[in-house]
Amino acid sequence: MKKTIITVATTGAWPKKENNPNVPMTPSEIADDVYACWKVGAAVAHLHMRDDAGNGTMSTEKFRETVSLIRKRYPDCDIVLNLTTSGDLNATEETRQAHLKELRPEMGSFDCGSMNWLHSGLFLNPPKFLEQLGANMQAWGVKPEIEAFDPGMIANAAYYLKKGVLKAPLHFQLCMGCANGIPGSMKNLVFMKETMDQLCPGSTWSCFGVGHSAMEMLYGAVAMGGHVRVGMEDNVMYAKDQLAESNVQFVERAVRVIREFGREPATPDEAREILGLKK
Amino acid sequence: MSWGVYWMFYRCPVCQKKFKSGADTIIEPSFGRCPRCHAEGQLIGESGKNPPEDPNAYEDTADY
Repeated sequence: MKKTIITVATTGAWPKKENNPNVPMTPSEIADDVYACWKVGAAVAHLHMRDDAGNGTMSTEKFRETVSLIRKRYPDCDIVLNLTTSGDLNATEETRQAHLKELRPEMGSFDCGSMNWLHSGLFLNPPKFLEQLGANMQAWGVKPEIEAFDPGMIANAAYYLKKGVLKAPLHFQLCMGCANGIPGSMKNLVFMKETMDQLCPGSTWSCFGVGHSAMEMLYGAVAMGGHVRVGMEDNVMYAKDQLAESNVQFVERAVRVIREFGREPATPDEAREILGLKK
Repeated sequence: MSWGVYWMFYRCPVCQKKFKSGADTIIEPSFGRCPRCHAEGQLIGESGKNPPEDPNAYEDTADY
């Protein structure tokens, strides 16, 4: 039976308790949340950190504390850790990678291009940074998750494959419905996947939809044979006018959708096999 | 990294209702229109720049 990887993006860089009181913010809260999500079916945890004021941070100390808490508090938890490299628009190119060098997570995000951000700022991923990040991730044994917010970023990944900055097989996270990125619709998801298949054949992929497109992208990804990402980084609402109670609630819904379709959620070890990770 | 829904906040010039539309629904005919009287809303603010002080008072116009 085909297995579907559920990634939970627990925290992200933006939602605060005022947006949803159930967003995990501290290392302790994030560690507990990761464990709870693993228990119900998440195979990968995509993690962002917050500073003491609740703002996104690339503090290696916060990543270290969180990873340590997960490992020490929950030694039975074998979830794949995927640490962001883009948790603070003001972080330096050094601080965006320092935690990968020290902690050597199995995965890390690789945002494959620059874009306007929320109609107000810049999400900068210049060529020099991406080339350095790709080389470092190979050296440190961290598998890049290629975050593509539009088809051009997939073409950029193909360029980096040819250059050797990235190594096949790639794993994409198709980011649908973000402001300034490609809108989240089935037509666009099909286009993104076809672009990926054409330019980077043999790649695996996952997707998420922000806000109103969340359900369409969840069902679409499962139906098209992809993997899925859920969690409060992308959505603080579980449904219209209904705040999410927890990240577990999102994972449980993804599990139900996958099983109704006739598949099973992948365990972390099955995810490692699908993604070509070395434990 | 994602950043949730990018909201555009409106007030209806006819009935004064406060409502919001997510940028991810920009192709919907209901975008920016009052859910009560369907008039085109007056833009009050945006989540990335100048959000209103009471964002939770604005009703989501999207038809899920």
